[in-house]
Amino acid sequence: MSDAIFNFADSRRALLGFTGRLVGFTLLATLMLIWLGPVLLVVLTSVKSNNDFLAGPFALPSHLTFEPYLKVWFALGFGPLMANSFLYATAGSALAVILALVPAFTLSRLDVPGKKLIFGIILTGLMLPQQTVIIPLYDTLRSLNLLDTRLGLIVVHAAYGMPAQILILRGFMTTIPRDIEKAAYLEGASDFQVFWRIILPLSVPGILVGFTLNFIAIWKEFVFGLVLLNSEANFPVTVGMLKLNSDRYMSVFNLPAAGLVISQIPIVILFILTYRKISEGNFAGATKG
Amino acid sequence: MSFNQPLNRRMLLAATFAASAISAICAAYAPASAAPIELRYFYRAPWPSSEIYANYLIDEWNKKNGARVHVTGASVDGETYKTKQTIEIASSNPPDIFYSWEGGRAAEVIKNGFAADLTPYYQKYGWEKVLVPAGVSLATFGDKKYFVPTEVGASVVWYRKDLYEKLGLKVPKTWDELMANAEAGKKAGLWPFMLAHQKKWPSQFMWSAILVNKFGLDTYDGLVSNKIPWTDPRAVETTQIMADLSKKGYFEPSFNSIDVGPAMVPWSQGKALHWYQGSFNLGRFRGENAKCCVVPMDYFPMPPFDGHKPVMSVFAEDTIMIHAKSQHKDEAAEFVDWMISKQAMTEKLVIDKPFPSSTEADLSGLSEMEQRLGKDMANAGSFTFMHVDHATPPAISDRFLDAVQGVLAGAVTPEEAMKTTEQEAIRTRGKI
Amino acid sequence: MSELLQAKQPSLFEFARAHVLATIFGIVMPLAVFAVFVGYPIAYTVVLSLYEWNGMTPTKTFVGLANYEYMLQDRYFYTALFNNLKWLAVTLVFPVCLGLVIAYSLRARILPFPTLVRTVMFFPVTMSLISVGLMFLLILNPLFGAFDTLLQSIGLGGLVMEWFGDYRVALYTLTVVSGWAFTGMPMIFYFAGLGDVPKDTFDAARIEGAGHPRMLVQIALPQLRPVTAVVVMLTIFESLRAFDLIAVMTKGAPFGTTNVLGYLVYLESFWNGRFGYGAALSVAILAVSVGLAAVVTRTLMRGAFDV
Repeated sequence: MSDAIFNFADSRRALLGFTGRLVGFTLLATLMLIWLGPVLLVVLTSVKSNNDFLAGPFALPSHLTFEPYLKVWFALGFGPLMANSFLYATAGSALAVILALVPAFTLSRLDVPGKKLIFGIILTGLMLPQQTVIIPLYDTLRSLNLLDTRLGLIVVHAAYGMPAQILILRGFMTTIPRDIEKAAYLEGASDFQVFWRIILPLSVPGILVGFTLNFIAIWKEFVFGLVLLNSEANFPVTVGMLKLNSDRYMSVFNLPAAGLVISQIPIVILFILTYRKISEGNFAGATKG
Repeated sequence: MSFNQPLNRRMLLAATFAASAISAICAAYAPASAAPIELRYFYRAPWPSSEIYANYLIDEWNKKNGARVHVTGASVDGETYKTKQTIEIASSNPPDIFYSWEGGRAAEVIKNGFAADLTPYYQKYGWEKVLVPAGVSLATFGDKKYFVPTEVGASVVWYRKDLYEKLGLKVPKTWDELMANAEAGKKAGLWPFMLAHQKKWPSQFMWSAILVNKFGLDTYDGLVSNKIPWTDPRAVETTQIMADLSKKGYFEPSFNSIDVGPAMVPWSQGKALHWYQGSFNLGRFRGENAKCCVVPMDYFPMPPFDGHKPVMSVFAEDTIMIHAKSQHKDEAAEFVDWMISKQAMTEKLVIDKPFPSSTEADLSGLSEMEQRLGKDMANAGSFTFMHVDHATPPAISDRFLDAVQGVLAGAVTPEEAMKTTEQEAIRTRGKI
Repeated sequence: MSELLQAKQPSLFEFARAHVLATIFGIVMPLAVFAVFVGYPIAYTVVLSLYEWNGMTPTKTFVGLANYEYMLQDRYFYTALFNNLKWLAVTLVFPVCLGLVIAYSLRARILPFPTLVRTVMFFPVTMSLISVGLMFLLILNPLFGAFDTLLQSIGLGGLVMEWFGDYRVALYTLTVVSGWAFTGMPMIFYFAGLGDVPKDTFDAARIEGAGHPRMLVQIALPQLRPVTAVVVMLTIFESLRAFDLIAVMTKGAPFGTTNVLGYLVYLESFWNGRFGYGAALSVAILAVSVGLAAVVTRTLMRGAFDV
């Protein structure tokens, strides 16, 4: 099945002449150069020795070296940083998804009066610029003794991840056909039974998509980590990586380049595993209705 | 449709969530190790070696005294520390010992009541006798002493000895001679001065050195201690001198996008003749070598204008405070005493970088030039100055640095720059 | 059908009695989270903006509207505000329009290898902006940067600038870098949206002999209005959040010309210890975002979701 917008466009050859294809390939080459080029350059830089680096940005290395990786791994302590980020991303997303399941179910499957309004209120949490809440959060967490704790950051991530999860899961749950559920209700099943036995098992793909997106979002997150944590032992990768911008590490760029590659590896793995699911419809589809 | 499969998947999912939630909670409540007296040392680690050295200090201490007084360290990098210090020392569970800046930043901490008065400990341990005099005078606010310097530094004009020889130049004794040397360098196709100004702090070194050596130390002290406004013609003229240097092309091209680290490469390649920078760069100048430096270089202090007596900038790079709310100030002072002991200070040179704040430290492992600079600093007495971002609160110095960067880029005039700085200063300290 | 439902619609109270668990965990709980993490902080920020507080002392001093008065004559505030708007404008033009064009080209089969293109372009969306910023610092560096070398080698050396060091171009460098990382997002949205446009409409237009530009503007765009509304909303809030890139690439330098409101809040509160003023700036961000959101809702959104 074709994903083209025309019924008769299944064969590209039918549609495009030579010029058309030339335009297509030129466009493709440009896009690849702009979007893939920088990434490849960084990977190339990261396996160069200091001398090879000074030979110029495009020069191929005389030999591959993984020394920058070793150096930067220990200099920045990537082990603990990655472990922290992994903890925040996993626990924060899991909590966000758990919190979002029942609201998504309620707002998609039940006839709640004022549904649109409730949904709208919850969604404003999505659009809130972080900077407007950062000072109160900082002060509140401080008085709760949760400042500079992993638990504090996880709770914050979960709370701000929840609205997006409700959006995604609600969109997903809306697409589940109503027949099974109707039969269950006729047999006297409660809301909880319908949710637990029917909707939840069928929502697993949606949950995975939501979890993945949230995982990536927390892995990328910077402001909360920067302001709500003090000790390096609790820093996630994004905050710990700021050090790479210090001139201590930036004198020759193979070190920061290696650091960049390391920080992105977990996401690349996740991306490869789940790319089809997250890029196709699923989360764009959440915007429907 | 079979119910089995989704049910299993659901259980798997539930188990995953439960496991991750539990792991999160466990991690948050990791058990603390019990020890007699716990001291927390919160410090700034701008260099990889800073952390290694701090760990050495802590480990050695705990080996000897751990059963009685146990120290744990926590660090953040140099830039981040500026925001984290406030957060940490104002928290309900503040560190007992913490890094602080000298000057205006220290004054802020003292004003808000977070710094313990260390005068009794200075007497008890006789710190005054071993510390570099300039460091002690910097630690004195009114009649009390509030911090202990652990590293001191100086800013000087570094120059390439080989290039000076090649061009037949002599070490300048006056500002005009320095300018003549710079011009000779420019004619030879060199960058007369390296600036490396991406992070906007380097230019203040030269700025304050010019001001002090042209208009005297009193003028500078007046500026940073809120007695003279920034719009003073002397401050404007100093800024104008910097602007002229920039206009004449005496700095490297694109200096506003080059950071100090990468600038080491053209410096090593011999593209620049001078570099006015702090001695904390000696670790960088040393590179992978056992002794300084990678390239033949030496230093001279900023030469004076019009027959003034030359003044060298000596500042406390690392300074340690004890928190006023600490329950164990005596034990904390004991740890600080260990930090500036001969053994610790000598080890600092091996692991970290010069210069130790104690005159007892053994400098013989350093290069001849470094030893000479160390002596110059010890002899500078209390007749010295520190740079703007140490001397004034961050709000003022940040605006000042912004403004000077604007002047060097030709975006604003020196008058405008100093006016902006003064406006910010008024907001922070009121009108003079 | 909707009329029928509305006739039977129970009151909230009746609903709560019939669905106790769903009410508690499905409605009350998320609204409580909203109250604690959105409502309360906003109220707190508004109140704090009337005070002066250095973040160190336990006491806060009431100063009335002094923070707002200062803000209205603060040059840095205006620079930051206009920078936010410039950021928004560039983001709407570059990543959003480009994302649409690429999505259309993929759907219209002008661009070959759709999966490859989508993967490569979506990848930066998954990168943290800290990584993106660092990466471009390396690439745009005047000493060793690849970009300048590339320009020189293709004879465009005259175009070389101080990308993040020149106060006239630094902000645009940042917006373009942010656009680089963001383009994948609108592209994916538009790609999905185009899949829902009935194929017959495009076929009909083709038979009438419409070219691709005309089909994109006259057929695709009107059909994509709901998607555009969402994308524009997203763009507005992305550009108001602009913070990470500035924190890693310029810190407001050179000469304070790359400050945006979000970064100014951080600078004033956590560096300069003026939490009250920081709060006032936060309120300004809030006001701007509510204002922009209102405009979008009134124009783009109106009727977009009535389907």
